[in-house]
Amino acid sequence: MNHYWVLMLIYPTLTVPFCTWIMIGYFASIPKELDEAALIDGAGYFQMLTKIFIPVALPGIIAATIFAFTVSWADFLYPMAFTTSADQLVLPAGIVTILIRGDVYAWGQIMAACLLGALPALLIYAFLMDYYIAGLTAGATKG
Amino acid sequence: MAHVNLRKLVKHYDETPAVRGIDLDIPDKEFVVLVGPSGCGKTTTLRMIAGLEDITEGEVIIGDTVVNDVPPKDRDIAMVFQNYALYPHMSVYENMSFGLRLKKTPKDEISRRVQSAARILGLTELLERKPKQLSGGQRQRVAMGRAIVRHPKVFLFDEPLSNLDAKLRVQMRTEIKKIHQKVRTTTVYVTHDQVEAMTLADRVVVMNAGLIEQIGTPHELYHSPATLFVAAFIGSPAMNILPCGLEETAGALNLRLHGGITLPVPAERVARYRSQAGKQELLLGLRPEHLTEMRTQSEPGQSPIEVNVEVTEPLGMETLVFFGLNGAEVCARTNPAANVQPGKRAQLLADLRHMHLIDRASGRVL
Repeated sequence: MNHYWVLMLIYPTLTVPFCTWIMIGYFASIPKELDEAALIDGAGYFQMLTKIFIPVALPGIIAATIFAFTVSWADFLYPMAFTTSADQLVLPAGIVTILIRGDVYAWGQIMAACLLGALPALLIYAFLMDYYIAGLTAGATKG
Repeated sequence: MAHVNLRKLVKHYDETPAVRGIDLDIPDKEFVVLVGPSGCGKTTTLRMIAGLEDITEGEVIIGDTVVNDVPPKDRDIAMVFQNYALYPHMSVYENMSFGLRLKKTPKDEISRRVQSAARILGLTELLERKPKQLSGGQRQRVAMGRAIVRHPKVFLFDEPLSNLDAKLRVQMRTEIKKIHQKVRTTTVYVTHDQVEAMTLADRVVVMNAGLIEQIGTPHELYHSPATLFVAAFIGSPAMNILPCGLEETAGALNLRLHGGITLPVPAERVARYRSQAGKQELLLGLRPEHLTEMRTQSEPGQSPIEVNVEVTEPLGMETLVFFGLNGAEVCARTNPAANVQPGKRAQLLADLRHMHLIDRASGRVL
């Protein structure tokens, strides 16, 4: 308790089920003929996984990664519940507990910290999401 | 290159039989087409040859090796899928060279083979493109290129043209035939399109309900079908099938169609059918081209028949004439100059020298 390592153990209880759900949908959309074509081309199961399946599934894997990152990055409840000392607090919980003292709001610092908190997620969505969700599977099969 | 032999091949999905014991010998360099309706077991058979389906019983032999337990990668085969199955993250060049790279073929050899296949298939300008930047026909050619560069023992095609539009399908059909004439690799090709089967194959294997109905050259299947199924399946428009009985009068045989029309059996067929005389549960098979407009001079074996025309379909070079005969829909191919009109009576000529007599109970052509 009261250590950010604890959070690393707890966040997967939220993210793993959701990411599994996202990726199952994506994996199911990959035509099985791609795997079969690789097997016939001479690939073993491991080569099929690394050279065909994972590269083709990359958009799904990245989407799930982004989702897991943003959920964990922006989480407020778990850090508030499991960490207390200032040196272990993560950003969302730290803004509230350190930058607000009683009825004194350090608005300038709060705004700056919020921007810092929002920036990574904003950048990721702005530059990566569209590109990857466009999907590399286009052209794999008819349609 | 190699011959392929199937020995008593059986495939069950749980309790459902998909292939029910087929024997097939495909000599080296032959182009064999498996054709049949959906669910007849043709694709399952192909996938068993490829090693993508487990074999319930029987043997698949490629070359001189039983390959039942050999994984697909070690069978030295190449397969072209219905939906192309190109690797979307790789360029055309990378798609075509993937198999060779896995085999650790030297780079200059890979380049030589890919360039050579690209020249055959007209893909030289497209080697750097990704599959999504290609049209349907180009994707299909890349899929074939991927197969050709590996110089496999056997090519397997699983309905490769069924996703293309009609015009492109005819073009690609010719391409496939040209490629086979160049590379002469043993080929097994699956399709449900009998025109594809007839135009491409050295031999056609007609399948139905998990069994082989008949194996033969396109000419044999068309002119000498062994069963009712083959007779009705091969040919477009399909063969006319009419219930009839066979009667013997003063040494001559007559077909009595249900409904009263009597047609004489041509003299050259009398000996062949005499043992069937008196039977009522027979079917007369006559192709549309053997049911034509009335001509001024009919030959022995040709009989006039008067019908009420229901529909005509002018195709330019010929006019298809449809009419009902005792509840059966019948099609005739007539010369457009004969000007057969729908809703009127017309005199047609049945050329019974090309008739088929089928036993209704067994479905065998007699």
